[in-house]
Amino acid sequence: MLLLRSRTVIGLLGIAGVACLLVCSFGEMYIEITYREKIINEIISVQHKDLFFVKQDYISPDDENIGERENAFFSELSIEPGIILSTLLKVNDRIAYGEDGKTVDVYSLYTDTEMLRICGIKGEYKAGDVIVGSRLKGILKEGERITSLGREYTVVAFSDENTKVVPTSIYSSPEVCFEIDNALVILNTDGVFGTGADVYMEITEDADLSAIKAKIAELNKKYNVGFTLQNIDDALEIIRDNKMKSANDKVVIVYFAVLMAVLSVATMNMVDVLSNRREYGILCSCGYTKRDLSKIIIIEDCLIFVIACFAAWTIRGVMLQYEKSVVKGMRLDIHYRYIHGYNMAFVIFCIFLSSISAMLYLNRRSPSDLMREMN
Amino acid sequence: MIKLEGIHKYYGAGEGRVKALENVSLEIERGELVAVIGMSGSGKTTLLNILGCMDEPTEGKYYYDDVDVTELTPHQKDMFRKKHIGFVFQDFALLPQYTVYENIELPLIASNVKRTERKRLITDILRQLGIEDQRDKLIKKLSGGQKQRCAIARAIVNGSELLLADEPTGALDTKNGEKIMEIFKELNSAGKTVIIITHDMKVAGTCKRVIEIQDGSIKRF
Ligand SMILES: Nc1ncnc2c1ncn2[C@@H]1O[C@H](COP(=O)(O)OP(=O)(O)OP(=O)(O)O)[C@@H](O)[C@H]1O
Ligand SMILES: [Mg+2]
Repeated sequence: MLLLRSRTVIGLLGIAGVACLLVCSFGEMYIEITYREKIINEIISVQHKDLFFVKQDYISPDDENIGERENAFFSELSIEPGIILSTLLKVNDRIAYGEDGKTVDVYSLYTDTEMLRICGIKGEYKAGDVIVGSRLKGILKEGERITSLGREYTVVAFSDENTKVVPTSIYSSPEVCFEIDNALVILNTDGVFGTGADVYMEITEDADLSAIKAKIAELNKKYNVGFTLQNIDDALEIIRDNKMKSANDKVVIVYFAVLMAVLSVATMNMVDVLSNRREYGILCSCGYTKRDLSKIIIIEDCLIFVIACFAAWTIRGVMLQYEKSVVKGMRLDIHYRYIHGYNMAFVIFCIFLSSISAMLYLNRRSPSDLMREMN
Repeated sequence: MIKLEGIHKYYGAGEGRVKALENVSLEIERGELVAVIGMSGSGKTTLLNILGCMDEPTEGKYYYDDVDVTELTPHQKDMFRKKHIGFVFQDFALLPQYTVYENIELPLIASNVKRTERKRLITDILRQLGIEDQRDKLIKKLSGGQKQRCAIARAIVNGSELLLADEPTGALDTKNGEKIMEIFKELNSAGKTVIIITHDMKVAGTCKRVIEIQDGSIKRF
């Protein structure tokens, strides 16, 4: 009925709206963490002890002939990009790795404008299109639909024989792209391996690792590139660390932002109570108990947060729709599936947190004290 | 009905402590019409606030129908006020941005009275006080006398048995003041206990009983 605080409600709405946008992004964060955690576990399940890779340590080379230098690097290292795993696997093959024989679907999946450029493919592409390693040319046909890990993809092209660099896109899928073909195994967890190429190689059992490392270091200097030799175990550690670090960073930022928003709402509540002291006192004289007043505050805050949450959810939805229309992606839908319980609990906590100071203020003062105008 | 025993009230603490009431003891029976008089700053409002549970005494006992009010929890005191007390203030203490109807509705909402019942009660009370045609007017558009009628309506709509009025005629001209006093007398003869603070000896003279407070103590019963 009577919104005593109608004067401040609009201000509160604004701030709560921001808060709830943050709450929603917090939810997304949560998805990312759990989802990525799953990926990491998946990677672990395909651990292949003998699989080494030469990791590129820099993110984006700023000079133009970097590609040439890299090629020179690899040819001198005598790792011919393209011949690393001798087994030819089919997309959709199910392979077992590791001692406990865990299985994973093999799929080759990657599309990106950069990739298209490198592969010399022109024309439009959609997320969900795959460019398949050239070795699968005999098995798959262009335009064929393949299913992998429950996803459907369309083969749009085959990569060049000598494809080496596969950069990631900003909308890259977080799946592990285990393209076992054409010299590349792409553990495509964006940002982890940098946006450049990681070349994977199989090293014979009796190979002298330290010698290879020394050679790499020497060649790095020579060609002004930055590669390191890593075992997949090391890589997984790095993935985990980086993922958790970036997730934690985001969580801290969001926590901080939500905290600020809650503080602002709490401040607005206090301003309201202070400027409407007399009105609250009058309500007491009319028979409202302190509990009634607390209830009014909580209910109004709830209302504000619910409206703001709905607004945030809608805004996020529209944004996603736009993103989807741009990238024509599929996993963006995930946002909606996860946006319940967890977020609601958090919102309720925020409401409580932002109401408490005003409620305490009212409860600590006698009605006659409230009715007196402040001097 | 009301029994105060050795009530003291001090504001603040230490050197800046202000004495508002000192050793006040009195009894008021059901159905009485009492005037409280005294100089400005003598403690009249303080006494009324304690009677209405708007404030707590520093010391002393307050019994209401044998209930020791001073021993109640804060929430019980709130409930006590909701159930038994109606307030009328000199400055009306109405919410100006709401209508007459909405202001009178407040105590009923606080007591969870149903909407239809609220409507019936408010219509009755508006008629009783002769302001039914002001029903949907905003408070700020009323005259002083109309405002005070509205405030009285709000104080009694819930059926509270004890009416506490702090200089209800203070902001009104003589004619309107007399009319308001008439209302209080009518309410009193209908069975309500009424305690009225006043500066006006003429007003006090119309009450059956006058209590004079001087410097925080009761001087005359
Ligand atoms: N909240 C307060 N803090 C400090 N002192 C107060 C407070 N309220 C009242 N007093 C003091 O207590 C004494 C009694 O005040 P009270 O308001 O009861 O007087 P009153 O008889 O109602 O006066 P008036 O006729 O002017 O309304 C005064 O000296 C006043 O200054
Ligand atoms: Mg007074």
